[in-house]
Amino acid sequence: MEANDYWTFVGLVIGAFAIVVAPRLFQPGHTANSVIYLTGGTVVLVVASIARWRTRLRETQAAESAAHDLRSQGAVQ
Amino acid sequence: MTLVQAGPPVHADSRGVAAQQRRKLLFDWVVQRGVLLVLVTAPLDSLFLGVLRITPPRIGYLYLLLASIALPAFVAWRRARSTDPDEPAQHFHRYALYSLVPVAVFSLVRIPALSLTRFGFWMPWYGFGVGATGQPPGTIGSLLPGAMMYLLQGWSLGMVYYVLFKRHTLLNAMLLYTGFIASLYSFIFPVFIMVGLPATPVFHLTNYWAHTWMGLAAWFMPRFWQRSWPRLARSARAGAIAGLALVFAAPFTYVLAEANLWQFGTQAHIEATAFDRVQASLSGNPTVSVQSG
Repeated sequence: MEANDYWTFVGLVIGAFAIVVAPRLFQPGHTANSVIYLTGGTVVLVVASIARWRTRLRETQAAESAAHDLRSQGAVQ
Repeated sequence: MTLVQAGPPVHADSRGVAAQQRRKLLFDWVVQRGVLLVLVTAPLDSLFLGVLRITPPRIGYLYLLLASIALPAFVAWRRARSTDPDEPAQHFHRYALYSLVPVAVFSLVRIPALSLTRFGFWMPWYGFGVGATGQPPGTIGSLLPGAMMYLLQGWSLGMVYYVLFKRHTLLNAMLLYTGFIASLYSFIFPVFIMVGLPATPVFHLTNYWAHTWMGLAAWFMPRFWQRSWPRLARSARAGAIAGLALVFAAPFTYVLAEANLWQFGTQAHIEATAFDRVQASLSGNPTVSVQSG
C-alpha cells in the first residue's frame, strides 16, 4: 500500500472518530453502534498497517537487490 | 577552514530538510486532493453540517451551491497548472462518470434485501426532499428532489475513492467501503437519521452488504473502462452501455413504481374510502342542550 493511501486511512478513521463518534461514544442506547465503528476502524487500521509494512519490506528488498547488483557490476569493472 | 561540518549541525540540517519535505508533501496533498475532496463531498458535508447541528440547514445548502460553482473552476485551474499525471483533477471527468455506477449498485443490491429489512431504503429520500423543498413527505414533490440529493451524496461517496487514493486497488476499495464507510454508517444512521427506530442486526448486515457492492463497483469501473472496453466489439460496447444505463436507472425506477403504488395519496385514499362508508342520518328532531357552569 502506498504511503499516501495508508495515511489517508489513518486520517479518515481517526478524524471520523474525533468529530462524529467520540462526542457520542457513551450515549445511552448507542453502545452497539459505537462498538461497531470502533471494531471496523480498528480492522481498517490493522489491515492497512500490514499492507503498508509488506510494501515497505518489498521496497527495501528491491533497493538492496539493486544496490547489490550495482556493487557487483563495479567489482567486475 | 573546514570543508565538512561537524556532526550536530549536519543532523540539524537533515532534520530541517526532512521537515521541509514533509511540509511540501502536505501542501501538495492539500492542493491536489484535499481541496478537491472538500468540493466533491459538498453534498455529504452539507448534510452532516445540518444533521450534526454544526450550522443551520440553510448554511449547508449555501455551501453546496458555492461548492458546485467552485468545483469546475478549481478542476479547470488545476488541469491548466498541474504537471502530475496522477493528480485526480487530470481524470476528473472519468471519475465523475465512474461514480454514477457505485451509487446505483448500492441501491440495487438493497432491493432483494427489502423482505428482510422491512424498511423502504428510500424513506430517508423523503427527509432529504422535505429539507430541500419544504414539500410534505410521502409525495412526489419531496421524493424526486430527495432522490436527487441522495444521488449527489452517493456520487460524492464514490468520488472519495478516486480522489483520495493514488492506487485504485481492491484492497483500498474494500477497506474504504466495507471497513470504514459501512462502520461509520452503522453509527451515524441509528444515531441521527433512524431516530426512534431500532438498529437491528439485519440493518447492519444490509449496510455492510450494500457498501461492499458499492466498493466492488467503484473498483471495477476503472478496470472495465481501461482494460475491457478497448477490447470490446462495437455491438458489445452498445450492450455494455445499455447494461450500465439499466443498472443506473433500475433502483430509481423501482422506487418510483413502489412509491406510486403504495405511498402517494394512499393516506388520502384510505380516508376517502372510510368517509364514503360512513352513513350519517338524523333520527327525530334536532335538540340543543346547554350545560351551565
